[in-house]
Amino acid sequence: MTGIKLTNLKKEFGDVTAVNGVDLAVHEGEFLVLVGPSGCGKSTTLRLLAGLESATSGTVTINDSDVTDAEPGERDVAMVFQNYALYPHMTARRNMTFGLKTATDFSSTQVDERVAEAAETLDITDLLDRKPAALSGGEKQRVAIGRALVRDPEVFLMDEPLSNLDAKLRVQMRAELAQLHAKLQTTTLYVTHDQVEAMTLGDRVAVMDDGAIKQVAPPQELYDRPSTRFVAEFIGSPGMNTVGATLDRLGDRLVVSWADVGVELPADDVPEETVGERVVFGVRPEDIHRDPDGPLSLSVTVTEPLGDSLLVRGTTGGRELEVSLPPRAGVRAGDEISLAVDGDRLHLFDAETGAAVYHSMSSSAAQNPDATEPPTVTGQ
Amino acid sequence: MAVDNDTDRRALSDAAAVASRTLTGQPLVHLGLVTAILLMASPLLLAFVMSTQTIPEVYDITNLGIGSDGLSNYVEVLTTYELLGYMVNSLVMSIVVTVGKLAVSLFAALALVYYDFRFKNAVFFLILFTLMFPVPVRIVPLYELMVAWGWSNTLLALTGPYLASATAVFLLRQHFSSIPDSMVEAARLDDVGPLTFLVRVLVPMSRGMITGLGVITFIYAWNQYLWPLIVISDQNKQVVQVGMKYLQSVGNAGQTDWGLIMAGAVLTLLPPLVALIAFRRPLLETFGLQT
Repeated sequence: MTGIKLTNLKKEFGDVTAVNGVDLAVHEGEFLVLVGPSGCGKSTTLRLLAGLESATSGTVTINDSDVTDAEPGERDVAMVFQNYALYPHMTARRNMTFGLKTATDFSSTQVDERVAEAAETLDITDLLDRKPAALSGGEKQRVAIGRALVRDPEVFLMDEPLSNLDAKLRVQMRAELAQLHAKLQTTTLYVTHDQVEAMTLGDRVAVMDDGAIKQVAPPQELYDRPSTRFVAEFIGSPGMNTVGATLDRLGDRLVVSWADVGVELPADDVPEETVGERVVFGVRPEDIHRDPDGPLSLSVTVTEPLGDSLLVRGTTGGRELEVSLPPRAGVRAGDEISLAVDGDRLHLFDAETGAAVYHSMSSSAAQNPDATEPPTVTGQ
Repeated sequence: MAVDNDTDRRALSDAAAVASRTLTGQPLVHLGLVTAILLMASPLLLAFVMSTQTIPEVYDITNLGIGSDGLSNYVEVLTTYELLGYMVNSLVMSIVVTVGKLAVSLFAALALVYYDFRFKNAVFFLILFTLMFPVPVRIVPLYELMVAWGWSNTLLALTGPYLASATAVFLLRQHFSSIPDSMVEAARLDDVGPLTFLVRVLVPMSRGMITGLGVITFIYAWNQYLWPLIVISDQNKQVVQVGMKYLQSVGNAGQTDWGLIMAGAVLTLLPPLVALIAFRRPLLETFGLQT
């Protein structure tokens, strides 16, 4: 059984196409995160699923029943909003139970039990008689989640629920959400623009851009084997360095080169037709290290000490490059440093389409053993 | 002249700045403020003083003390001249207008904010357009309409024309628009109907605005004069503002009994005053939202 299935879903607002042919399947009990930059259509996709927007074309299926034209109240979904959407004049308890009678067929005692249970789970039992104004951001968020919990819906929809919290609380709530899902196993679609949230929470992550889904994969695979240049640059903090370059064969060596810089690739399964072509060469900042004999010479422009690492930005062969070095590496702006790349962690993308053509990491090492279904890739 | 104005303004703002710094040390500022307050309160104070005076005392304009009639004017106006009856009529009219106007405006604002229909903005502007046609402007056709419907001299005629209010619709619409969309979306996900949403969510969340509007409407309705004068012909159905007019013909030897009239005026003033004092907080909230 499939929890949620979106088929060729489109939404146009006048001349603007917000969602352009999304195909997505969320398995029952799965926690799927929809991530993308602002305006990529991720929230609209969620709202189409909730029924708060009506689809221009395509279908929405929840638990194998077509709900494309169903009212939001008929879909058995519960949503957690970015601004919590708590009614300010009602206590936390009333907020959790308001609408419950129409949304479900629980009896009054069942309602009381469910509220008590949800409050217990979320550790908000003491707060139930307070109004939202007397709650902190994190507590409001818990009440909002509690409101979704007591409905016992088929599907949880979460629209950037953590973005109004401060950084520390966000990390804490993130962990609690993960625990909650592990306990409840309710199908969840979670929308965020924060790729760290996406990676940490998602069983799988769908990366969206420009109204289309670019890649759906487990977090590690998304990081190791991004299917497009966009995904590579979006996932990771900071994202992958990408440089326009040429791929050439020199004897039995394959070399990616731009300006006066050349990086050797491990010569295994690089598609033959890309040799001699323009490509986009990709390497993550954390896969570059200092090496006196390395092929890259970086003129450092900015350094950002992060405590656990030192982020160094500079140019090599006229191209911007970010490098993550060990802390206390003693690099300063203006320095020239020699760098080498990790040969197992290199990526090539098509210069025109941005599609990945090669990952130097062997495919067996990158496969997530838990991924039972091949990643769905659409929108290409 | 312009230069004068400018210097005046600068002097004023300087004075204000100094005053805020050393208010206690500025007796002149206090004097100015007290004078201004007295000036503004003088009609009220004079009315109260005159209401206690006999006719000769009123006509002696240098006599500004409490008169020798005491409260007898009040008793007389309430009993002999049935002001109490007019006040009850006014109260009924004001309450019906207030409740009716709020109900109509709430539904209109609900439709304008939470429903999608064709020409929604056009409808809204049409409603705003009616601001240019207050009741006094429409008085002749309205009267003909009331007569044609057989409503003249009834409560329906007295209150009906006041029930639709562009101002109230506008204020409520703006207030509803400021409530986050996610509130109504959360309700939609729970299959909460529009009426439940209005009663359980919108009204409680707009309590301040609604109370403020209610107070303004109540006072506005209480103070109506021209329309009741025209549409109500039975004296015992008349409202208090017109009832006051009847007092003018009372008097001795061609001298109007101003003491009586002022007693009536002071009494007439009380219900709106009570409403203002009781609901001053929500009223401030309403005006705060307007600016």
